[in-house]
Amino acid sequence: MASIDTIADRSTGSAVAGKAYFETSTNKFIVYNGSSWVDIDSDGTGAAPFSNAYSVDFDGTNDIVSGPTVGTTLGTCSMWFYNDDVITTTSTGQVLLNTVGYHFGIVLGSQTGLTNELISMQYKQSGVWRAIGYTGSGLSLASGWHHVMTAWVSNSSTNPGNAGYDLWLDGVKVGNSVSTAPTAPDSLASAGNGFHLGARFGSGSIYRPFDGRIDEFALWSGDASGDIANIYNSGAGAVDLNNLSTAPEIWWRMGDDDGGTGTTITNQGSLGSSADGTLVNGPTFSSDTPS
Amino acid sequence: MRNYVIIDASEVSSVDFNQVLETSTDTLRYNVAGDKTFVKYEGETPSFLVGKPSFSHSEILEILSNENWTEKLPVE
Repeated sequence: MASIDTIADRSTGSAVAGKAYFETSTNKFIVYNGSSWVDIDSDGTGAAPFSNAYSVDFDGTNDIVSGPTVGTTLGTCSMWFYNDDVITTTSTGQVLLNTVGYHFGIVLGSQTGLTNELISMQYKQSGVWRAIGYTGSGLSLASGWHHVMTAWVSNSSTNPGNAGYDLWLDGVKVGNSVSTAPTAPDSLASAGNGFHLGARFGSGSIYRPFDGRIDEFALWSGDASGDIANIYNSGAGAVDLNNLSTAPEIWWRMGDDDGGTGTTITNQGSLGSSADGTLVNGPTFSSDTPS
Repeated sequence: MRNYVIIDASEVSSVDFNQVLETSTDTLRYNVAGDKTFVKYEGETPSFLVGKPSFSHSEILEILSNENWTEKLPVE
């Protein structure tokens, strides 16, 4: 990366035509034009600062956001969610993400058959259901904004000594219970017919709808867990995922790229419009965002 | 405010999807028996739903939490 010299004051700079510095006493860039130092001012048209004005609200009855079939490996999945209900280990499952046929999913509450599961990731590989869960007697998740991430990592806590999926809740690795460990990451292509946020959708109906809001849904084909601290941001809210070490292939801002109107969720990830989402059955844009 | 109306599966063909928030016949949620579904609307009652009981958001959530509407997903 190119850099520019820093100088406390221009009086100590090298007065050579074209020489430039960042002057710390004025916090300005300065350039010598052959006869004097010229201050470089901003024209105010630089990149807009990152902001997050919208999420998508699911009513818990049948609202979903549908995504297309793309070839992305399910390396890392990240999203913020606001659960309207307190979630306990006996709560009826609420689906945050599922691929068609429930090939892969992230679920709140009791769902996969693990004992005392609060949140889990389910994956059907080679005809065998495999679940990674955060389990424990008496666990609960208060209503509010939370962050969940799953990532396929080379040395997994859920499959010690081997690659596997790990699970993070609010920035902390929590996956502590496994039914059968996956041996390879899933792919959205293997699901065949896309994926959905907010419920399981398939087999002629909608199952386990989520009641609450989802924001900043993102998928990477690789392992982005090294950025978990940056992504969770100490719970202070969403960050610009393009500033991470690896930008996501799919990044749904859930309204921010669409002015909070319409039925399309524009994909800001590297796959572009081939991975746009569609609001189905009337989910609405909300101004409530993670913070 | 949203209103929710439960209808028989046999009535789906009469639903005008321009007057409800559901997207199409392919995106409806059915009960476990498969003989009932529901639609939701905002504002004026769609003509094809006039006379049918409607429910608030909290009321429909209570109804849908019943085992007649919510079955355990299969864990194979």
